[in-house]
Order: sequence, then structure tokens, then C-alpha cells
Amino acid sequence: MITTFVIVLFFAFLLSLLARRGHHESDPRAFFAARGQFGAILFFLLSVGETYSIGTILGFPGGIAASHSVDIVLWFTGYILLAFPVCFVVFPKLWEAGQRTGAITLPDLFGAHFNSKKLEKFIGILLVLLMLPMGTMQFMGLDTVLESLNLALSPHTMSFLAALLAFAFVAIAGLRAAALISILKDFLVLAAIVSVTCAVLWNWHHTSAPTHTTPLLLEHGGNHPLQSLTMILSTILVQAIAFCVVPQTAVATFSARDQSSIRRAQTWMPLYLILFPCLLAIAAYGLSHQIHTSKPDQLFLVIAHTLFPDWLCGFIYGAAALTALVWLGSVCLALAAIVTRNVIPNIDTKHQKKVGLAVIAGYIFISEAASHLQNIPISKINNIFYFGLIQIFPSFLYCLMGKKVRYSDIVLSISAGLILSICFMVWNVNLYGLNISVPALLVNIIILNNNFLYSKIKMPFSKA
Amino acid sequence: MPIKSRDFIALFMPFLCVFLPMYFLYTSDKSYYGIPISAIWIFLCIPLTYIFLFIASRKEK
Repeated sequence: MITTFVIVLFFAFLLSLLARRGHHESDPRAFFAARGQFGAILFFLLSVGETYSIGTILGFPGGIAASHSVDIVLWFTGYILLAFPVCFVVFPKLWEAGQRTGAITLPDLFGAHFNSKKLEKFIGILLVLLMLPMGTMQFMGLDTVLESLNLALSPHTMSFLAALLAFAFVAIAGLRAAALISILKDFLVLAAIVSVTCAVLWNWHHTSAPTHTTPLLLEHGGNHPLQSLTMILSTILVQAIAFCVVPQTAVATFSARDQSSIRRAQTWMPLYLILFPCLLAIAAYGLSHQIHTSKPDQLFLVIAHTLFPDWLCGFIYGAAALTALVWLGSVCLALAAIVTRNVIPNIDTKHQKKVGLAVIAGYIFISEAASHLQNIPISKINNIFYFGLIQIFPSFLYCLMGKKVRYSDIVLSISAGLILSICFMVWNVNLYGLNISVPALLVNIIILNNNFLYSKIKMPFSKA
Repeated sequence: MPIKSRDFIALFMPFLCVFLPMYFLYTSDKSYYGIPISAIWIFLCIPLTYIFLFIASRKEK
């Protein structure tokens, strides 16, 4: 198993070397953001690669198995699916705004549009903090894959290996290489999910009779269906909208060649979700055949191990590891670009790449350490990330619409939204299923539009 | 930022497809092979969304 696993990583390594040829990687702009170099195909591969993170391949079936509920199928599939139409409309306008302001990162756009360096720094720091849970999520998945290899190594050595692997890929790669490795990763992920699904369907009736006797494998949301439905629909809405503010996706959008490349790529992306029913079939097999795992997120890997010979499992585990590595690669590069350009902006071009790599090493170390703190399911971390990200959306929309407001209003509105979301989350406030970001977002929008609302309220009184 | 018909087809039609029938599907007891009908519908929305985006991208041309 280990041989085939190493072969997969070795091929990815070769591809990253291939991507360096003919491009000036010493230029930090090219290394971190590959500005203007991506046509429809590379843009598609990079953006879709980010859709299929480790959260999808391990977290989705793991979440279904852990909850025995259809709710996760609905909100997880729903939000990624509806994120594509949102991105279809928003990304060409984001690209246009990027051209207007010369931005290669989101904080660049905020800083240039609202003409405020302080706001640029604020958004930069906020995005760095928000990206930490996502890095943690990738490492939890990577650790799960390495654990499943059953190597004779301690968990700490394993974690160190995972972190080293991630850093090596990012340091060699750059954004062009991340897009190229996505080709290998996507091919392997497709092959892995389809082959495990075929094996599952074949084995369903050929193995011993299922022990689970309930006719319905997945339940609807318990005693309060209306609350569950509110949770599902509000989560889909919030996360589908927040998806277009993900920093590395924004970097990929600025890297696109033109608006029609973006629209062409977005058109095809929903078809990529055709793997989701396969993942549901795999989870259903695990539930009906009572496959036991030490962690729910291991379900996909354990089923593959039960059904396939060791050498084939090596390829599947390699595909799962690559999903985490490609995602980490693009996140780390986006973060390095944000820190070197926006948070500590006065670094000369010669040192930008070195500082960027130091930032990446720090991010990898903290994410890896955080992945050992608590045993939270991967799908839950995904929610926490979007709670924060959605609060940037109203002011992000102002950038695209060309509307100006005071930078203090933006800082205040985002902070109020974030604090309210955190309070709701910490105190576990029951909003009858409503996603906690929704009321926080309303407060955010009211503060952001305070001048407009004030003038509307004042008008009738002044007339009187 | 006026909403064009292209953006309307691309954005609102997929949202309507997912959101409108969800109450009836979610509260329904129907299932196939143990999978509730609501899950099957959300998977059917995948090709539907592609079709709407395809029509919208054609409108651009």
C-alpha cells in the first residue's frame, strides 16, 4: 500500500517541477497569484480543486454516517451546488473590479476601492484568522489518511510528516503548479470515488445480508422538521453566498485571463458534483453494513480498505492526501500573498517570497497543532469558517457595485456581525434552526447602510 | 449593477429549483432504497443547474 501511495505523491512532485518550467517563479506576483495566466481550463481545475477538499471526500460520508440524517446531504450538496450560480454572476464582476484596481488579493481590492490602507490590513488579518480552521480541517484529513496507512510511526512523527509534505509542495509549487497537480488529483479522486462506489454496489447484495433492518437509511431532522428545514435552507443560502469570498478563489479569479473564461469554467462546475451521489452510496453502505470506524471521517478509507487489495488502496489514500495538499497549497499561497502585500506591505520584492514562505510555514505549524486540540467533525469546522466569511460579503458587494462608504463603517459592521455570530455560537442560542449568521448579517447590513437609512428616516421629518 | 436576463437565469432559477419544492419533499415520507426523496431531488438539481448555467452562457454570446 505504501509503495503506491508514495508513487502518487512522487508524480505530483514531478508535476510541480514541470509547472516551474518557462515561468519566472522568483517574481512573487507570479509565484503567489499567477496573475492573468489562467485560461478557462486552468481556472476550472483550480476552482474545482478547491470545491473537492478533504471535507468533501472524507467529511461528507463521515458526517452522514455520524448523524444518520439526510440533513447533511441537503445542506452540503445544496450550498456547493448553488455556489456555482452565485460565482457565475459575481466572479466576472470581481475580475472587472480587479482589473480596475490592479488587485491580486481581496484586501488589495478593499484597500484600493475604499482608499484605505487600514481597511486593507483589517481585511487581511481577518482572512488570515478565518483561514486557520480550514487549514486545521485539511490536516485532520491528512492525519486520518496517514493513520490509515498503518505505518509503524508515532502520531507526532506522522503529523510532522504531514506538515513537511504540505510545506514541500507549496514551496516548490506556486499557484501554477497547484493548478497542474489538480489534474492528477482530480483524475485520482474521480477514479477512487467511482471505483469504491462500483465495489460498494457490487458487494451490497453479494456479501452477508445487511444487519441494519430499518427501511429508511437516513432520517429527516428528528422531532422538529420545520426547524431542521430552516437550518438546511439558511445554511445553503449563507454558505453559497460566502463561497465567493473565499480568499484563494478570489486569487484564482484575479488570475483568470478574461470574464468569459470564468463563465465558461463556472458553467461546467455543477457537473463535477456528480460524485456526491456516489459518496452518499458509500456512506449508505457503511450504515447498512455497520462498518465500524474509530472516527466517522475514516469511513471512506475503511470501506476502500475492506473492499480493495492493499496496493489499490494506496492509490485511493494517495488521492485523498492530494486533495488536502492541493487545497493547502492554494490556501497557503493566497495567505502568503495577503500577508506580504497587505498585512506587512513594506517588504521589498526580493524578500517577499522568503517572507511568504515563512508565513506559510507558520500557518502550516499552527493548523497542524490545532488539528490535535479537539476531535471536532470535519463538517462542523466547515460551518465555523463560513460564519466568519459571510460577514465580509456586504462590503465586498459594495466594491463590486462601485459604492463608497467610510472605512470605519465597514470595520464596525464586519466586527459587529462577527461578534454576534461568536456570541450565538458560544452560548448555543436557539434560533429555531436559523443559521446564526443570518441575524448577524442583518445587523452588519444595517450598520453598513446607516447613512442611507438615517437619511430615509430623516426625510419625512424634515419635510414636516 | 442592473440584473440582466442572463444573470436571472443563472442565479435565480437554480435557487428556485432547490428552495421551492424542499418543504414538500422534506416533509414527505417517500424514499427509494432507504434514501429520502429530498436527497434524490437535490442530486437531480445538479444537471438542472448545469442546464441553467449553459443557457445563461449562451445568452452572453
